[in-house]
Amino acid sequence: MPASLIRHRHPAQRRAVPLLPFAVLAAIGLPYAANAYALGFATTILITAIGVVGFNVLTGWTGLVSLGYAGFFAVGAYTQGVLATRFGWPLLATLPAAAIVAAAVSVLVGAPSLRLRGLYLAITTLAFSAIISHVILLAKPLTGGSRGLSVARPSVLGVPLRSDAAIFWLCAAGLVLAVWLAGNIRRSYLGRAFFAVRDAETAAGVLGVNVIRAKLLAFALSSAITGFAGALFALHQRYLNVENFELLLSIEAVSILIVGGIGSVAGVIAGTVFMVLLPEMARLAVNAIGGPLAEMAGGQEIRGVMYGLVIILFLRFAPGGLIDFWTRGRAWLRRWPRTG
Amino acid sequence: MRRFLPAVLAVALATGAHAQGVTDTEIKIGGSTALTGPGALVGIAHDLGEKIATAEINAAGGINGRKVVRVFEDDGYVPARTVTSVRKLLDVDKVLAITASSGTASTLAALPMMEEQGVPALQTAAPNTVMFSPMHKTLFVVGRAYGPGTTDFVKFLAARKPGAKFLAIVQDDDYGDDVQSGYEKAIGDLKLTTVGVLRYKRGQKDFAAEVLKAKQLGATVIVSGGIIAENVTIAKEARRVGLEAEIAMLWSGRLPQTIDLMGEAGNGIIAADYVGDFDEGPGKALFEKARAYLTPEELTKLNRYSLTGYVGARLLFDAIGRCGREVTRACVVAKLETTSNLDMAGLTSPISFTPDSRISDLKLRYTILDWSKKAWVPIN
Repeated sequence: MPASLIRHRHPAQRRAVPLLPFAVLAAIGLPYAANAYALGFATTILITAIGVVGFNVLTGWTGLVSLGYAGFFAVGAYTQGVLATRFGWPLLATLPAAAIVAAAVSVLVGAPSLRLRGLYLAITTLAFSAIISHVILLAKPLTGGSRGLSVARPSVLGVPLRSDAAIFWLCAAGLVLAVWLAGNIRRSYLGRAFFAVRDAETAAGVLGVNVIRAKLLAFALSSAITGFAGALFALHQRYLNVENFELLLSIEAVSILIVGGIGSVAGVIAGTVFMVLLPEMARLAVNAIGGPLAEMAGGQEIRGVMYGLVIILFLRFAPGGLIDFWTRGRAWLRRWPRTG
Repeated sequence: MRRFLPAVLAVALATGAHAQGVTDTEIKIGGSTALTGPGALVGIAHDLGEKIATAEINAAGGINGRKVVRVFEDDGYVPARTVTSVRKLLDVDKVLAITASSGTASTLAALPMMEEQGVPALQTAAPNTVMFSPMHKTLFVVGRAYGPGTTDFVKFLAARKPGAKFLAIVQDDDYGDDVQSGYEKAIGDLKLTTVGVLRYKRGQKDFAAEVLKAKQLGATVIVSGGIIAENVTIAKEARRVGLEAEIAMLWSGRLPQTIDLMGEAGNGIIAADYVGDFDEGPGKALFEKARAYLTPEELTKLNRYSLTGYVGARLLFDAIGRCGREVTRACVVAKLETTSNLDMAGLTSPISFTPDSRISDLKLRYTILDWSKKAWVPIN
């Protein structure tokens, strides 16, 4: 990359540029190197990261505490599933449609929630998720109701996306797109308006920020990205059931934000990798320790305890999240010869 | 390449070219159920049933000299986690067959993957119509389908209590649909008197309204189409409001643990099931045998789902055994679909499948809860 071009980029982008070739190589090579299980995990990480990048726009940047993540994710997933399976829409139409439908639904939820903040907004969005679950169950001819919906894997420009590797690459491209979009929004007027609303809503209004517009756009953009992630989830899983979109999914999104670092896109990705891999790491640790620990309920309950413990430890000792570790570590390294 | 083919085949045969999950000394099978969370009552019991069957066959020398090794994963009854678990079982643990997946949604979620790889799979805990209709080539369902099972049960109840006024309380999902269709078929077939079908939302905790409605409508037999907690709540609520109706429920709630949960309110409840109990007959003999393979703590966790797990494992072992030394997934599927009257030593009626059917419709047996004995007593 020529130095002249690097100079015009945002500092965060400049730091990321040297890593890009490695990331691209890893994304291309992983399906050839990893088994299907590892590839499945990697795909789950990518989809979760896309969803939480979207969630971060609403909760991390605009300060609107939402528990509706599962609902918007479900809207995207079912839009993909229904349009592809029932109506045979091509992927290039279903993916944008999933984002648009999720955004449109979010405006319906966002509009009456404009005067709500904090816990009140959280409960409203939680109620929205419950409504979405019931709508899915009621719309049986389209969604399959409680039986669920098998999702067809479509073709892109005549090339069928049958393999797990193809889905992985699609999700990797989706994450790049989501991060690029989020990064650009963050640096735009709109992004600054989101932060202003989060930090001092009244002051933002006095300074000319259209607070209502900013909040609605935060809802719409956040949900569009989350809905897009839901569509990828549908393609990855190939079967949708309302049980996949329960409250736990929203709690997981909040946990990833906290562990990664609220407001940071890089933190979201770090938090996603950490939280998705944590149960598996805990399983390996329990199995390695063996003995009575592994015997106790097959080590399963211990895994759950470790999962919860890590979240509590982060909340107590590292509220800035993983990204804060990275920032402080880098600062310490920069000063290292002097500080010893 | 054609020149080398005979040599490659010769080397493969000499070194023993086996299907995935099969070596000269071992056969690896796997399952994914809820070992944590509310579903663990079912999942752990199922796991223990398979553990007994595996220990038993290994003690008898294995299957054609090969020891059976089991890998079990916890999916917490979450379909998305079942997909991950089954993917691990197939691609990392390299199992030959899948013996369990939590429930209907979990099985359907993992099904595309299992079908693509031709993996023989069993479902013994949730004999839902959607599992076998339309037929899935590699998925075999052991049990009595909910719909026909409910029809049989209602007809049995009608014979037991002529002139009864029936009412059904069913869940608003596919399970409830099956129960309702079976109920309505029995009512239509025998021209019985029904005072209604009440549907409740999945996850509902309070059944006061439904029970009061049943009382108001004068129901004398209530077919309670809940799963576990729902049946307990309906029974307790009925006793609380003084409803004298006979309460009947399907097998999903027929657990030793529900006896304690229902307390005296459960006395006289009638249940239908396609497996027996651990405290009488063939089940008792199996329990005695299980003492050698399970810890005292594990023995307390046994319930009807242990019997379904045990029966499923025995069925799979039989099919693998009939493949001889050349065990492949295709062979196991072929042997499973030609299983005919496989004797289960009285734990269930004999098991059969055909190339056109993937449900082994087992005979139902009926029990009544005797609170004084804290046991399900067979009804002749």
